[in-house]
Amino acid sequence: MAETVHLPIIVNGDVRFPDGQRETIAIDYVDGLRVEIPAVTDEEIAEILANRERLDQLSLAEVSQFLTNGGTKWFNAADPLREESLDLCQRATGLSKAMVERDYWMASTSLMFRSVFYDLLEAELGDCHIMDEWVRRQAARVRAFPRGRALHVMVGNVPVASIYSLMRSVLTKNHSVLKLPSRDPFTTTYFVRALIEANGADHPLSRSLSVLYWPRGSTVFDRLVKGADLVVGWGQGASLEAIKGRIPHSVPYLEFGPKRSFSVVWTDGIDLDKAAMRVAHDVAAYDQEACYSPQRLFVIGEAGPLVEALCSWLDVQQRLIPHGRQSPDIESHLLRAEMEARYRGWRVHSGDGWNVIESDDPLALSEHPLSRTLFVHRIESERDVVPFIDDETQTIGIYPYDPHVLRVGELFGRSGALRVVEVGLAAYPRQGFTHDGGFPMHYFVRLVCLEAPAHYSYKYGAHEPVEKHEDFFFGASLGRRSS
Amino acid sequence: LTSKATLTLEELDQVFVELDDYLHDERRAAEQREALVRVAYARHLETNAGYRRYAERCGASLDAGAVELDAIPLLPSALFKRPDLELCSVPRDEVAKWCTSSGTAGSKSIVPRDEPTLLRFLGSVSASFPALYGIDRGGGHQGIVLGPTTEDAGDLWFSYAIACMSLLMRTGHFERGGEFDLLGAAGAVRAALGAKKPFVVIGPPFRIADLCQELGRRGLPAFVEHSFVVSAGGWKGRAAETIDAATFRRQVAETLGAADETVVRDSFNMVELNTVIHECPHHRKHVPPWLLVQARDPRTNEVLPAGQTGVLAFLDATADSYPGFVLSEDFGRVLDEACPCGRVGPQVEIVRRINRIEARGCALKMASGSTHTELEGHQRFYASVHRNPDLYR
Repeated sequence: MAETVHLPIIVNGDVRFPDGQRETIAIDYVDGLRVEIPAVTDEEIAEILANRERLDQLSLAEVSQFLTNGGTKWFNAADPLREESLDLCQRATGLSKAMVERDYWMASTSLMFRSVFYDLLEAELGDCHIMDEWVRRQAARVRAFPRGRALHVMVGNVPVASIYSLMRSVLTKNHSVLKLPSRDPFTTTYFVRALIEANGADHPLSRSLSVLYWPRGSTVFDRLVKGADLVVGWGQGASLEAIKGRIPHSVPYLEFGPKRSFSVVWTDGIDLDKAAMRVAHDVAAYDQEACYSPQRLFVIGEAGPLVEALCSWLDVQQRLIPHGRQSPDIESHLLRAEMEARYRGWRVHSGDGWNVIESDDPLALSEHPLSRTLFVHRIESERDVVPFIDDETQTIGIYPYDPHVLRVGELFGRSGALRVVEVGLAAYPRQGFTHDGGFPMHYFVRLVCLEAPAHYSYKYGAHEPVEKHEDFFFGASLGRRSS
Repeated sequence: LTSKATLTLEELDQVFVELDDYLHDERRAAEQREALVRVAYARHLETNAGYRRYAERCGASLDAGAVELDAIPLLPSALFKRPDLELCSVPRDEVAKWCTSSGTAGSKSIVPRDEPTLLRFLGSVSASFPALYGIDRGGGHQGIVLGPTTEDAGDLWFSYAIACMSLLMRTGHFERGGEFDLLGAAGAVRAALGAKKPFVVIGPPFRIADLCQELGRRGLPAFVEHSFVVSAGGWKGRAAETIDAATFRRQVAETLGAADETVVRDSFNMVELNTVIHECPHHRKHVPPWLLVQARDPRTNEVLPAGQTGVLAFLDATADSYPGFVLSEDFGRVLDEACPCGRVGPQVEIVRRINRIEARGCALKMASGSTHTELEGHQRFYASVHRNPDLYR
């Protein structure tokens, strides 16, 4: 049944719905769902770029409270904004309702506790106080100041990613301009509305938030990027390259591009059922469309019993987080993968919303249909995994963890991998994790230092402060005028 | 039908010669189509061990005379992109041309064609173009090819296919060293119009669009009757500029001052297909009797009823050197209704390409790629099978 949803844009915290007068952009989804969203005007772009309200004097306590208020509202399943967002997001993205609920739950449980932000800053910047005050670092005092205005180009396959990107921006006291993804324009819009409602439209952080949409080929990005102090890009390689080429020098660019991930299981002496359960969960999350979703499973030891258990647990995952809607395109990719496997003589196990393909030649695989399809390769040792690793390899799940992690962590890390986790936790980063090989919070701040003066004595050399060496450093004696 | 059945060039030549008759006799065309596809199936079961094993695994009958046509195993077109798979039905030294698609490195199809297969392709082009366009071979038309000559086309199939217009008429080719000679092509069109000589422009739609933009800069002589503009292939790297077929036809016809849009037509081919499918004046793509086209359910692979959209499958009897039974990467429909042009039999309508896997989410393509080409990132510090497949084979 046809339904048109009028989605607002948000300009400096002001929520602006289509009013019948202004130009709108339509995005069509399956089952007659249509979104109409106002096209941003030149005046609104100017309004956003003219907003230079300083946020650096807000304390971390105030900022974290702002986020927590929004997170708490987002946690409430009965909240009308969250409820509406969840409904629209799952209809537009095709993810199952259970998957989006889980996503929103993960986002809100991260946001609703202020301590999380302090821990995050401790992990990434070394000291949470650095956001509010000068922190002693050897012979300097350092403080984090916001970059200014962060322009985020979002993706829609993993809704929580947009919320996380925004959180980084707000936590570091930046203004945030968010470009909605057409696949899911709802989560970000409704979450920002939740933030504004929970904190009041007159909160300075509310006034720092803008949410816009523009279609491919628009010049809006080029105008906004002239007023951006940081650009954050998420998405496919071609989209990221298109962004990269349009950013002025001196403006940092933080990109989260596509990645490959996989799992490695040593089957000797392990609880196969537990391993299979965890692998199945990693595969099922976001129907395997996340960067951390394993696409292959390398098995060291006997593979058959593990595969058997895996098939059973993929059925369980289907009950826990059902597979989302499958477009004819996805169906066709799955069929092709199955046909190719048959051509090659590989064994295919299929169930409700999943496929497991046992391949004796991992080098032969060249396309992956995603959609909860796991290629299983029996290998001799972890060294056989190395050819598949480069610095576009994101998450490698291993099981069991303890006996292997340091050894293979070294091997995989040296080969380019970015993240090693225990199988089952691919979708649940632990505190202290690095994101695509770095601590992204560094991009959001300027670390300003107050370096110690010459009279300050530090630990190197003799006790005398530097000024005792004026001759050496400054040539003091050469310029000293005789009396 | 025995597995020794083969189809001689002469037999197919006769079908080519009688193409126009077949396009007006549905029953005869259907019988011929079935017979030819069965012969081709028998031949590939006989000559292609890999395909035969595949047929066995698919549970298809190995008796070409008895097999259900819908059950003839299809090769997903992606198999032609796999450097480790051998799809040849002839010894490698008999391959005359390793025909490539215009994909990027790692996603190029490579199709082996021996001389008989190439000759059949040329024969089918020579038959089908005149049949659908009403142009006499060797007549007075001038061909303006927005691509290279057959020699310069090398292994790039698309360029080779459009260059084959030279079989039918005197042609000028307006791509040299990979560069499109826009002004040269525009000059050729102006000259033909000025001389009141009928012409055929053939090329990809984006080049036709560029040509029209150039021609539209100043006035043109009156359109010459029986001239045509034929688009082939997609918008490729210029997908953002894609316009729908009806608008494209209208704009081209308006630019050239043609009386109607029947002079602007599209042709369909892909590197795995040994036949070009042309449009009639009503923009219906008529399927010749050596080719079986089906729309398949994307999930079950079942053949869909006429008019329903599915993944297009092509069973081409003219391919000798590889099994021409291909599941394409296009959605489309097969129509069996009467065409206003008077021709009968199936018509195929191309709807759109299947979305690429990369369009979904953050999972990076797993392509191990081709060993024939350099892959993106192959010089980066961290090597892998994805970037440097040659190191691992």
